[in-house]
Amino acid sequence: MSAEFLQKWKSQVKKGTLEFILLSVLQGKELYGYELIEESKKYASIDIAEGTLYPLMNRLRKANLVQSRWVEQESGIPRKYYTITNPGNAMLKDMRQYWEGLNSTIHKLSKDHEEITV
Amino acid sequence: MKRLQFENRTAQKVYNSYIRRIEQTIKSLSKSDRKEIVMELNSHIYAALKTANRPNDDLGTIVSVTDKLGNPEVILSPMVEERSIHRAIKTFNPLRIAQVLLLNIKNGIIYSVYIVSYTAITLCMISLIFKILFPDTIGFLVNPENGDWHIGRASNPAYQEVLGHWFVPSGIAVLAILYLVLTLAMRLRNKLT
Repeated sequence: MSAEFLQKWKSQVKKGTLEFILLSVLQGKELYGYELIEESKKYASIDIAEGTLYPLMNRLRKANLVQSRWVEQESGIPRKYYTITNPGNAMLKDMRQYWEGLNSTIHKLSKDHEEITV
Repeated sequence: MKRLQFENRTAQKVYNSYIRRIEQTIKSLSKSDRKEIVMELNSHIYAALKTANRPNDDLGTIVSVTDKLGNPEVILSPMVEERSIHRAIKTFNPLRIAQVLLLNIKNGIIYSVYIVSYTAITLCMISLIFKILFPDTIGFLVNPENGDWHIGRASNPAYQEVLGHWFVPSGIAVLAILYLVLTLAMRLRNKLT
């Protein structure tokens, strides 16, 4: 039961950070869908269906945080390339700031709790 | 869109079936949205197959690639919900709105609230048709003695129809405003979420 609870919690945390990861990976780069997923996997173990990232990219595009363009390929199968926009970079900066604050709070909480139990 | 070709017939069937499931899931979307989604997932499958580089195992590779991508019905449902609602409320088309609400009835209590509200508007529209058919018995009925009122059929002689010929135009105006307000509320919710 506790293992199952922990697994669910981990999954929720990961889902909540996906946009942050995708925007971070895209910073300063232009990547197509598959490449973006593979690159994200290097930094985070994404144990959700890869296909769920496409609706997510669509949401980011709708929010004007990323933009996309189709590029024709010799194979005849075009690729859709994504880049981060200026509002996307600003959002990423805010997300990082929030994440650092959260990280510091959790670190302090864990440290204080550790002192109490010791 | 250029479809992928496999030497292994079973691998081809797996691929065709996966693309068909995608097309089936997104059939309520606009033609351009459908084209965009299928093209992007097709492009993903092609890139994943190239990266896997297992030329003698078409079947194993396509099964693994589609398995990692996930069930089209599951992975695309948030996008289908969002885009179909956006399309329906953008055009104010009542048939599209009805279709979208029925498709999303399981996606939250809010859709049930919308369905009840739109059904109420539809029933009121029907009452306007009955007013045209039975002008003397249907209408906005008021009891002058106690001020009670209701819209519908005059079964009690104490009630008098007060709007007369104005019942239909005023009813259309009120229902049009309600429809507009409800659809704009849906549009606002869609924008905020």
